[in-house]
Formats: sequence, C-alpha cells, structure tokens
Amino acid sequence: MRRQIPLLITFAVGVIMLFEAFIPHPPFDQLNESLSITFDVLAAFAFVLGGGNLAKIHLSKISRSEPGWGYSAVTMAGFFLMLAIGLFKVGGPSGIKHALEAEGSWFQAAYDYCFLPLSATTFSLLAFFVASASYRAFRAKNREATLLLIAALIILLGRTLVGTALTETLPGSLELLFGALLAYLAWEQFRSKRWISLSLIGTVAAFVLARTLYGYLILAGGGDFYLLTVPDLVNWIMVVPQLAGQRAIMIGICLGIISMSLRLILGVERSYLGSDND
Amino acid sequence: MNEQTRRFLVVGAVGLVVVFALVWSALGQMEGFWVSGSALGAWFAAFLTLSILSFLYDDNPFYRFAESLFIGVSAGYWMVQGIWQQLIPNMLGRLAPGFVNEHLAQVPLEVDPVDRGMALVQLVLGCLLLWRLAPKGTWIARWPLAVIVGWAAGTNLTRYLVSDFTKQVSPALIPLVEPSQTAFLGIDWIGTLTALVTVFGLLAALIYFFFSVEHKGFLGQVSRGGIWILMITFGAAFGYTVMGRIALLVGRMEFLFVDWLQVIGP
Repeated sequence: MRRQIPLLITFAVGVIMLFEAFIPHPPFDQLNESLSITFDVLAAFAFVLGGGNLAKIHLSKISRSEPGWGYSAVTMAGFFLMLAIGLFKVGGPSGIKHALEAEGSWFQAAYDYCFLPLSATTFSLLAFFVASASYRAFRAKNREATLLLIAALIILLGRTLVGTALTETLPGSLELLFGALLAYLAWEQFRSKRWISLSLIGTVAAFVLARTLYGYLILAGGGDFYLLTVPDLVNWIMVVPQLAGQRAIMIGICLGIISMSLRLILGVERSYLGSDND
Repeated sequence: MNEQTRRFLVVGAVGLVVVFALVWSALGQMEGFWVSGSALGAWFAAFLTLSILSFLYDDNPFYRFAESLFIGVSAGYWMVQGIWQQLIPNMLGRLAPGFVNEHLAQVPLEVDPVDRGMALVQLVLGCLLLWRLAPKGTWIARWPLAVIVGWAAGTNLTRYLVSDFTKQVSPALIPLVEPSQTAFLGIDWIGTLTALVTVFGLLAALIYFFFSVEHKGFLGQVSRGGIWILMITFGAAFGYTVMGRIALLVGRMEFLFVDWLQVIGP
C-alpha cells in the first residue's frame, strides 16, 4: 500500500493533466491553473522541508560536537538569522505588512551585503575552474575538441570589444585566415595525392583569397565592399550551426521527457518513491 | 609547503588587506565600517568576497566560514521567499483571507469556494510533505510527491511536445535554395549555404543521437558531421558560460575596488 497509493495518485494526476491539454472545456480548462498554484505551494513547502532537513542535520552535528561542528554553527546562525529577519520582516518601513524587499528592511540588507556577494563570488569563482578544467579536458587533443575551442574563442572574441577592434583595424583578416587554412588543407591533400579533395578545397581557398584581394582593391579605390567581421561571424554561428545543434539537443531532450513522463504516469519509473526502508 | 604554512599565508594575506583597508579609511580615502550601517554592510560583503576568493589559493578557514554561511543564508532566503510569496498569499490567504489581510499581507477578501477547497488540499498535502521530518511514517510524504510528479509528467509531456518538438521542427523545414533576383545564377549563395547547414546540421546531429543503428559507412560520416555541429553548439555554450562567470568576477572586482576601497572612481 505504501507504494501502490502514490503510484495510483501519479497515474490519476498525470492522466488528468493529459486530458486537460486536449479538452478545452470546464472543468479541465481551469485545472492547469489551480494545479499549477498547488505545485508552487508544494514547492514552497519543499523549501520548508529542505530548511528543516538542513537544521536537523547540522543541529545534530553540533550537539554531538562532531569534527567541523563550528562550521555547522555558522550555517545554523546564518539560517536562523535570515529566517527571523525575513519571517518577522524586521526593520521594514510599516511593520509586517510591507514588501519583503522594502527599502531599509533587514532582509534586503542581508540580501545585499551577504547573500548577493556570496552567490556572485561563488559563481564567479567558477570562471577559473571552468577555464582550468576545460584546458585539461580539451587541450585540442582531436578535431572535435579543436572545433569546440575555436567556436568558444570566436564567441568570446565576437561578444567583446576585442573582436570588433580586430576586424576594424585589420579588415579581411578573417578571410585571409580562413583562406590560409584552406590553402594548408589543400597542400595536405596534394601531398596525399587526393585529387578530388584537392580540387574542391583548392577552389574554395582560391575563391576566398581572390575575393579578399578584390575587396582590398575596391576599398583602396574608395569603394564599398563587405568583408566579414568577428561579430558577424558570431551571429552566423549562433543563428546557423549553433541553432541546428541546439534544436537537435532540444528535440532529443523532448523525446526523453516524453518517454520519462510516460514511464512515470504508467508506474514503470518508481525511483522517486525512494527505498522500502522509508 | 606544509598545511600550517599555507594556512598562515592565507591568514597573513587577509590580515594585510584588513590593515590596508583600516589605514585607508582612517586617512579618509574610503568609508570606515563605523561610519554607517551601509558602510558596515559593505565591509562585511568585502570580507565575504575575499574569503570566497581565497579558495583560489587553497582551502582555508575563511573560505569554509563563508561557504557555511552561504549554505545557511541561502536556505533561509529561499524558505522565507517561499513562505511570503507562495504559502501566505496563495494558501493561507485563501483559507483565512480576513486574518491574512488584517495582519500579514494584502489579499483579496472574496475567495471562490473551489479555490478555498484547493487551498485546503494544498495545506493537507504540504503537511504530509513535512511529515518527512518526523521520526516515523515518512512514507506518507510520498503522496504529495506523487501529486507533484504526476502534475509535472502530465503537463511536461504535452508542453515539451509543442515547444521542443513541433515548434523546433517546423522552422527547420525551409527551402534549401534561396532565390535572388540580383545574385550570380539567381541564387542567394550565403542564404543557400545557411539553409543547407541549418537543415543538414540538424539532421546530422539527430542521426548522431540515433543509436538503434550502428554508425558506420554513410551513416557514420553523417554522424561525424553531427558531432561537429554539436561541438560548435557546445563551444558557443561554453564561451557564453565563461563570459557570464567573468562578468560576475568583474562585478565583484568593481565592488571591491570602486564601491568598497574607492581606489577607482565610479
């Protein structure tokens, strides 16, 4: 019974929500809103549960004087202080009925001078760890990793002033770089005697380099000619290959969510119920 | 270098920063913590920022203090937000609107009986969820969890089918050749290249995710193209993540040097 009733509840609620999506008539059309509020309220209860669990663990650690209990005391001090000033809205302009984030309230001060610096600095610390971890993980070991690093580098350049400055001071530098890369690839094909690849890559390289030189001639004559800039390249990456990859990932995630939802509704997936020892 | 020396170095570095800040404020170059409540807050925020940043050198008591405080403060913060933003207006405000309106927050006094019934259900389910903290009978908390899981499964199934499937597939179905009146051979070459990369990139990446058939031969080549497209996507996401974190770091440095130490003008 301890497992069957929750499975039945999941099935009933899941099926009702499925009906709600396809039947736009009362009472189904109002169900989503009221169940959505119920979900939010239960999420708030879950925060209370999380806080209670945190207090339970750390208070027991303090009472047993386990190693590191001093840090648990700091955690509990921060937790209860935040709770007290937030629940009683200490220091607000008009008693307990003022907004939680009202100017002058202690809760807002605790947010500004404690929560915000702690969270922002902790997440900013990740910049260093992401950089060092990615250096160790990728290090351009193969073509795929190199592609990832180049894409990241172009994005970083293009979304900052460096990228704009680079192609403004050196117009056509991207084309020249791309053309040189293609020429190198064509040379590699020539050395391996792959004539079809050589003709294809060589044609593209010649076209890119010739177009750039033609552009220089036009620009030198005072004319107008479009040469690629890093911000434009970033926009193209974001709108074309990045979007294609993102769409594929989203479609994959969607299919995963559909199968997982069906597994949950039909009671095949039961891990959320925990163990039988509970 | 042993642990004691490292710890001594961290304490020494933090001590130096504190001494510098005290001298700097005594000279009138920045606000001392004794000047006002906001100045005291800024000093505390600076202390916490430096404590977290000290982890870049090594694990140390300052970092552990800040980390422990962060856990407690954030748990308290989200709990208070949940109570004041959800429990009081959406549940208690519907069960006892008169009391809430008089003592706690502004809520509508007229409540629909159905909403009141739902609020009662929410209260019961919430209490069952909190039963998890009780020493016995924690299995009862599975009932509200089952409601949450059932609701999420039922709504996500249809919602993601629309937003992440049909709405992603339909804009991908575009003409592969873009016509142009003025361009060479009547074809917009850039637009055509864009369409080709978009459509074939999507198909190639999807083929990479298709594990029911072995990726060899033609399928293997296409799947390899899919990996390249995915690598570009991950590269873009990685670049944006690094940028976001660096922006946060710049924000913290700005706080330390502009707002707190005031060595750089705003």
